Amino acid sequence: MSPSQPSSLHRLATRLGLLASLLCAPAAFAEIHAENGHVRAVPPGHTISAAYLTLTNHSRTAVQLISAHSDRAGTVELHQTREQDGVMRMRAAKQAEIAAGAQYSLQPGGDHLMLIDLKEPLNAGDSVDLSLVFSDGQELQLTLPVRSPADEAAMSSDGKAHKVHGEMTETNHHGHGGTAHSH
Amino acid sequence: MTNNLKTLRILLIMSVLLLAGIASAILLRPDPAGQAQGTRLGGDFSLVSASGPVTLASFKGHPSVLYFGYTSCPDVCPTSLAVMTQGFRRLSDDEQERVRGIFISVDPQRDTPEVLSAYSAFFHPSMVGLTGSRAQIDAVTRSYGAYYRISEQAGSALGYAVDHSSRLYLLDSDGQLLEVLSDSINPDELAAKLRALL
Repeated sequence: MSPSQPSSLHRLATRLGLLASLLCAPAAFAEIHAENGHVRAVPPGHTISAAYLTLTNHSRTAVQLISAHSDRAGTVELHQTREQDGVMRMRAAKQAEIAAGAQYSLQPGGDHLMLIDLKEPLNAGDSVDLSLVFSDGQELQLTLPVRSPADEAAMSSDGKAHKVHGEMTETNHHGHGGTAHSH
Repeated sequence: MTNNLKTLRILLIMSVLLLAGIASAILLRPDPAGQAQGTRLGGDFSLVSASGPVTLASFKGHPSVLYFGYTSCPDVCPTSLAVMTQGFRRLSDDEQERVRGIFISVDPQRDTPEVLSAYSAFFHPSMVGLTGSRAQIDAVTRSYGAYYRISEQAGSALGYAVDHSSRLYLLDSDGQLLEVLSDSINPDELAAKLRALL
């Protein structure tokens, strides 16, 4: 058996695989839905805030949240707060994976999207456009309400899930019927 | 017979030695009250607000809740300060005017007294923002048993973060530290503790 045989077979398989993945690509786009999103109001002159939301991956493949952008901020980064021996440590993360069928909650004391270099004040009642980009090319365009941190605490201490129907809107960049929806 | 007496004498001596050992252990053990005295948390501090120098005596007559953090912390600090604010809001208007929130920034490089003043007032009118020199901050964190450390963040536009402990320190109107509370205490519970001090 010539040593080139397995290699060329391998190449053929790779090409077929690539072709197959190209053909299947539209169907392979994960369906990521966002809910319960909000951005924290900040005092005048303050240039940093945090966005929270819950993402659900309705597809059969894992996806990574790889970047986020907003017109209201110079930079949006994924940050993770972890407690270790009573000390809170916040670190930037390059990406976050959402397993197939899994939910990824960005919530106070855990993960958040950090809005850095805010261009204008964020007052309670405002809304912020935010786009999230995923590893499969999917992009979510969200409009999140701005809420005061103290009102957010009031909601969680009441023990009620804070659904934001009618406040947060979501559109899917790829726009194919099944995934594009708005609350 | 003599053998029995000898055994008895040995037993007696051993018992006496044992009792003496126990007695000296009790007498010589470290005094727990004295130890607690030495490591008692809290106490005076010397810091600055937007309107000038501030010490613990500035809060005399006001039951207070003290918190260490920094304003470029968008997650943990606003969450904790919101719990404090919620606790305050459960009090009557008159009571809310008498309590104080003391937010001490451990990030004097970014948090000027003016920045802290606007930031604290955003949460509650009875909250003040304080900071100081690195030495003053180190002194107050040490006396309250708080921890902080600057952590460079090469991969972030933030530049650096500050790792820190996140606790609410309950002080009575004489400035005595009564309790170190979880930052996720129920606001009703916090309000009840404050009301008891008013």
